[in-house]
Amino acid sequence: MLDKLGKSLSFQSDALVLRSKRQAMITSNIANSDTPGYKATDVNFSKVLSQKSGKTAPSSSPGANSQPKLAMAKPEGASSTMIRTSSFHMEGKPVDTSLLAESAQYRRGSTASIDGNSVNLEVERASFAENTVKYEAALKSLNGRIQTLMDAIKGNGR
Amino acid sequence: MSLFNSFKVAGSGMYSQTQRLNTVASNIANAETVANSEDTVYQARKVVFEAQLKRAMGNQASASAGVAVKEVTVNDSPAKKVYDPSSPLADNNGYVYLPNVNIAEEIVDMISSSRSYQASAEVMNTSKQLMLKTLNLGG
Repeated sequence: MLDKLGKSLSFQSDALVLRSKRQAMITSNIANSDTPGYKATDVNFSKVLSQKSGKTAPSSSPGANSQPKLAMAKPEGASSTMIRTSSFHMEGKPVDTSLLAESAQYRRGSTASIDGNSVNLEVERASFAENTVKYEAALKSLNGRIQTLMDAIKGNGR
Repeated sequence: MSLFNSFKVAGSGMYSQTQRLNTVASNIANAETVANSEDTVYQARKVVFEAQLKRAMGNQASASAGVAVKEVTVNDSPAKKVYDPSSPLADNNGYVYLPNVNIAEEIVDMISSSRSYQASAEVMNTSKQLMLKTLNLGG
């Protein structure tokens, strides 16, 4: 029962986690807008989310898939597992954060300046604003789901 | 939670830009500092940034990177030589030496730096608001 409740929220919470990861990624692009040699990165969000939630992407643009992949090493000890000290404890699944780092891609189409920096501050700020709004949308959707469950639990009479 | 990471990264950006502003301030303040030889005259300084992938992400796999000042470089182009025999610092030939600071360049650097600072500050503000909204989840 509880597991089903958790599952009904998992898509939204996955989306929320990935949105916050992307937020951090764009933040680092903005912070590094003056760093020589820094290359702006971003992710194909719908692809990563569908990978994570095990669903197929509705339609991903063909151009996005052919972007060069950013090779990124996974640090050791990055995965954490929950330890159960009693058989009554619920099973905790570790949050898989590696997926986003693996699918990070260099942003294309921006001309690098003479110091090798490819951050376009306007593009980054636009992406940041977009991601903020979508984060709030995911938050709202999650909130709505929780509200629905609460209504179902409480019943009509309250 | 990676919104905390956003704070760290934006904070590192703000801190680095502050250091850049500091060097600009130092260059402008010393633009008229004369010296009696080319070896002792003030030279314009400039910071070089570096992405800090490891430190920002701590133990988690993530592609976000903070920024830090890698080094402060000194501009070693020749100092301006001005004939001013009345100056107490004039050398035997009556010359004093002025720093190689280019004020126009420094002002441009200052504007660029303050814009970057503003961008990071805005990012931090937005992240904070998102976080507060997330704290209210289900309420």
